[in-house]
Amino acid sequence: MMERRTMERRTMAPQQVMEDRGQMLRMRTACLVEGGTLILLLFVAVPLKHLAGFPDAVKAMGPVHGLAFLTYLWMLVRMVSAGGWSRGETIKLFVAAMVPFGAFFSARTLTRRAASAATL
Amino acid sequence: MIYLWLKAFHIVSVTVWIGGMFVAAIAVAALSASKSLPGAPGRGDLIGAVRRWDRWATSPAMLLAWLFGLAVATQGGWFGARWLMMKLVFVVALSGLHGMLSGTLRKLARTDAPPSPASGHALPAIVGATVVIVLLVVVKPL
Repeated sequence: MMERRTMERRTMAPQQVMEDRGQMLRMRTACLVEGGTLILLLFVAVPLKHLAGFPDAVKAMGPVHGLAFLTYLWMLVRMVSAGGWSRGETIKLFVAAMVPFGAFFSARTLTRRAASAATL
Repeated sequence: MIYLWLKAFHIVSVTVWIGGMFVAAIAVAALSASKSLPGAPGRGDLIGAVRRWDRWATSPAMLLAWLFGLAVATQGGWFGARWLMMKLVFVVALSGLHGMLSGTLRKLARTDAPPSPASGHALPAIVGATVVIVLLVVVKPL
């Protein structure tokens, strides 16, 4: 029984490492999409509305960013619930999503985590 | 006509999503029981099956429920209605709970660590939120 469990761990470990790495990379993509849509909303759509009198840009970008933000938050909750993240890191990842260009800092953290998962 | 189609697909997505959340919540509650030892036979298979369902059915259903729901609200001109704003609070909470359950299942698959104590309250929370949402949508008291 013990032998079987040890063998299972040996065969599962690389799979789990790959899963961890995959999750970090998917999370990084969600983070960059969220950050990118926030920048487009704040620095393209909002000036277009107020300076060029073109409100449709905000009407289009608003829901897109809203969905990207909710998707990122949902993935963050799932990732943190799986363990391995401190409270401080979680707060940083959350706050960075609401600050323009903050997503780039989060993406760096996630890239670092993905790299460390790959070398385990 | 398109409104009714969107509404039908929204209801189908919600049904699959909430059903999947029940599966995940029951699995987490059962695996948290003291009798479910980390090396118990079939434990890994059970976690694997529930996680696969969560990944390929429950999570996509949640995303579709959101998309069809937003489409129904836009098509029907419901944005701004108080009952819908109230409903969204509960939908966001349910989505967060789903994320927690999904992450907890992942943790259970990986380590022998027990799930968070909040996981035990997932089932009544799902039932409660579902009741409130259905009442808000059908009765529209606000």
